[in-house]
Amino acid sequence: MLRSFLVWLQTSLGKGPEEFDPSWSEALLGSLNFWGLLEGTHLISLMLFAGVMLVIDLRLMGVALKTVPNSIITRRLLPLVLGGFAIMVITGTALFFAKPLVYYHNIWFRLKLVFLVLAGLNILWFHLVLHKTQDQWDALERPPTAVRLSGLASITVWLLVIIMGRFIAYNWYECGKPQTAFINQVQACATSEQGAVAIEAAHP
Amino acid sequence: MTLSELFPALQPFVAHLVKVWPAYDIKANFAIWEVFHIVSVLTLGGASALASLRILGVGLVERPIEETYRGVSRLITIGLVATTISGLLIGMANAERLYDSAAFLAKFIALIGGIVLSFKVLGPVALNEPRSDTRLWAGLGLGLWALSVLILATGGLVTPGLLHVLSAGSLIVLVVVQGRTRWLYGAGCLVILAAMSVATNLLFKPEDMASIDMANIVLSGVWLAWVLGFAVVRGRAIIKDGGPSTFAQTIAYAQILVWVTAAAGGRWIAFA
Repeated sequence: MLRSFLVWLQTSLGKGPEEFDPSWSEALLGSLNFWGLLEGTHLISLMLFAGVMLVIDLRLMGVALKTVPNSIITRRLLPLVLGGFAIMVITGTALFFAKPLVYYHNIWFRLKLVFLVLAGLNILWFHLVLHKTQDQWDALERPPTAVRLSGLASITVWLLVIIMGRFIAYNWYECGKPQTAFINQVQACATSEQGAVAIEAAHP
Repeated sequence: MTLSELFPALQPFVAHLVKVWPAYDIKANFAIWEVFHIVSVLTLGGASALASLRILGVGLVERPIEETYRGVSRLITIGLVATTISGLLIGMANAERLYDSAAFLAKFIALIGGIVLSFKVLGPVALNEPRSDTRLWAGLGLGLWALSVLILATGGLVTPGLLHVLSAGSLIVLVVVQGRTRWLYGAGCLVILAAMSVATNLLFKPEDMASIDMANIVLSGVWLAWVLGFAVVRGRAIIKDGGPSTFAQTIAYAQILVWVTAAAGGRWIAFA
């Protein structure tokens, strides 16, 4: 059902009456510069989002800006992080809209979504559990272990999101190429236009 | 303008680079090195943006500018060293393509300008300890940045990459201006963007590239004037409140935008 929706999104939404009229998705992908500008903006907003987030996490770990209380860091820097994240979500959604089926059948994109969920869970853990005791460790140069671990987990998970995001551009595991059964299964290659090709079939 | 046009005699050397260690090893694991480069750039960009934004009255305003700078200066150094090393290594593995790329030349010159501004200018400005040669280094760094922008502006297919620099500049001013002025400024930016979109997609036919180009150039000029106007007005207010000088504010804007120019150049290597 989700794939059918994505097929409609890619091929039918906004399509004109003539046979070769592009859909909105195809028009976006085929645009002279707009797609490039979107991708560039996505990457550059990462500098604002992940760059500032890194500083916040390093403060939680007691590594950077140690003399500044965490509450000031959060109050003043979180709006910048959220601004960067908003731009990334908007541009990321538009990029997905340009090639929904490619992303749907891409293992790196799927892993990226998994790590995004993990990053969200880490944020929830911080706000629901650790944040309640912030008064006790707010000004400490070296916060308690649980807080430092949360900072480390955040850096690790966001790093994995970035790595997965970059790997999407590479077609190492593209559907239609000979793959292991596991990769074909994870990417749902059987439902893709290129189909699932077992590695055993290519190298009997 | 590309390196191959400036230094055509280097072609055999550039062609040979990929056969030299560690280039062939890096080429085999290019994606990993690319990620390392991106993470280095975002470390550098985030840390230097925090120091620069603090000079412009944004960020950790409860604490002195010096404290913010000292808190992130090590990250700036680490990011800069990692960016330079990873950039040189992936550049070696991809040398022939970069040699013919205007976007790469813009990125490379912006990188040198950024190194000059980061190591020789930002520190004395943020710590309010100007040295006798600070303005000289600032002139060099700003000049190199201007040159990289000029290369992007005249680079044909890579010219749209300049919109990243313009939009980043307009976002910085959006967080720097305050109160109702911010709404007025933001609304103006949106109107200009809407006009660009209408001119590019509706007003002119897709094959009428000359008219589309002219409309984009004119509207980009209007956008730039709008951004600069608000930056100047806000800058005067900062000085009136006893904040950093015009020189310090200029360095703060340039320090962020030079890295955005380098990143934009890097990304547009892949597009044109």
